[in-house]
Amino acid sequence: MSKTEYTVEDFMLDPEFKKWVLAPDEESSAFWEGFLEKHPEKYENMKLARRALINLSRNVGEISDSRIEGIWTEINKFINEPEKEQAEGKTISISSESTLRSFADRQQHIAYRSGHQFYRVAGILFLVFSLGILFNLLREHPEEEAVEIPLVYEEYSVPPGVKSTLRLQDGSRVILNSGSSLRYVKNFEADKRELFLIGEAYFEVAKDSLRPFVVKTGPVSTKALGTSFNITAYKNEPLEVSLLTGKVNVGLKFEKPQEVILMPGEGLNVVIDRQVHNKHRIKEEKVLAWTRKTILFEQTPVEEAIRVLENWYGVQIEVLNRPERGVLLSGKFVDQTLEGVLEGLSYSARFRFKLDEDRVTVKFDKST
Amino acid sequence: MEIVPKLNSLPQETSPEELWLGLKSGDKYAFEQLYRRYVRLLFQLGTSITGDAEFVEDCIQELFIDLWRYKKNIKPTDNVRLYLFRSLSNRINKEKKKASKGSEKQRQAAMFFPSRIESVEVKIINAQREEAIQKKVAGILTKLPIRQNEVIQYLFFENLSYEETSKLMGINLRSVYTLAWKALSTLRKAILLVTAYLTTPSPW
Repeated sequence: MSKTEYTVEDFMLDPEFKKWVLAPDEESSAFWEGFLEKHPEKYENMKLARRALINLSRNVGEISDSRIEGIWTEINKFINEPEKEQAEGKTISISSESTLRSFADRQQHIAYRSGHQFYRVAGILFLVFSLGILFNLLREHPEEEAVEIPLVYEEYSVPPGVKSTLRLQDGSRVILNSGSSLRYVKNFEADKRELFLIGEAYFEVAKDSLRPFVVKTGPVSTKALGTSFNITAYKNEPLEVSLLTGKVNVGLKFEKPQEVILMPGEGLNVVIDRQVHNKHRIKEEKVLAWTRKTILFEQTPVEEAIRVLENWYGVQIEVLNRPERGVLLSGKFVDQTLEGVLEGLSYSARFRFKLDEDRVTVKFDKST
Repeated sequence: MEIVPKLNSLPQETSPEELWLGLKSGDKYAFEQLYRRYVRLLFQLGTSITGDAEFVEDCIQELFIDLWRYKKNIKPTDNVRLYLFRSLSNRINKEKKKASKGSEKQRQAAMFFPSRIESVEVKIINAQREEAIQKKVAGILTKLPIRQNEVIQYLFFENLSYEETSKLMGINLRSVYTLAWKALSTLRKAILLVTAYLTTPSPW
């Protein structure tokens, strides 16, 4: 195809043109300037192609070090599997006793072959008996081992402005909101899955009826078997447990310990220092908005809104002329910049704002 | 005896191709090095194509498990990166096809994962990049059909040649060009729309 017939796309796909735009040298400059001179009608197309090339962008994910290790652990498990099986196959004799027993079994076996009914029955009985002992020996073994494993804690922290999804060893999935941290015993203990949360997280719990899944947030612990729920437990704010599916049991370690059972669609609001709690209906859209890049304010007090925005965007917000009568903010913002959100709120709440890198000033109009 | 050098004793300078040979002969250490060296690149490529971090993690995990499982049969290669990209691409396309056929559980829309916007070349000095356009383009890329998205990734972001791209995707040169042309056409229209929306004068 002659370059004179080039569309914008063709220019972009021409390696020579791409080179001229992105890393020009004398030769390419001379060529394309000459070309433009001869074919001025191509100016528009070339201009658009250049602009599109320069702005061609992609959204690349950054994988965290902990995920790299997590995936490697899984791969490694597989690599080491066959060898482990072989090893187990060889080391059957647990003690001298079992060796002697198996020798005795062999003796019985010979007797069995000799055909005497008595030896046959005795042999079978003895075999059953010794298998029972062997089984018991084998069964006790892993229990002893479990006790010896030292508890290694794993901790995930997400700074303000960032969110993170993680998959736990048991298959459960957690989405951690900005400014939150989650701590738990690596690979969990044998009889429970216990996690400590500060901040906000959404849990999709993998079913495991033998190991209840317990999230501890100070004196409040939320216990689930296989469900999905959301917990908000930021410092100095009321704690909120919201249940989407399944059933959870929330234990409150107050002076008078209490237990509250939540059913799907119910939420529990706990004010820890006043030791009070109340149950209410939740809206899934609102609870899970943060996992869908959505900020949702519904009659939200300014203080709370500010905290949400600071955490969401990783900025500091200073409020001037804070109105004495509390202002409530409403609005829904999907995948918006901070500027977009503030702009949207500023009309109804009557404030002006200034953005300066990660410092933000919000100034309410005097009249409100 | 193996002809492969003892990789444990060598510093980081071992070439990917040597590590590859190490893997073929069952050297776990070489295998781990390969994983560590390429996991980020693969993750970036995968998330750029699918926008789904968790799915990509699963693909990478299975890719490496299969590499180990079939290590004896892998072919020697002079370009490990291309080989791994190709494996990842095959896996993504296979899984996506499976997902679109079986109308079982649809995957939930991609969840959050840390990411950044990356432009084609970083070297140009006074090129005026436009953030709004870049975001838009990055967003549209993930909405394109996977094969269209892929071809753009290889040609413009991974800086592969047409020949390499054609080999990687298993299609002929003509198809590479057509596919890329279609993708760019969609992107260009989107850029024009954004431009019309913005009031800033266009730089040139």
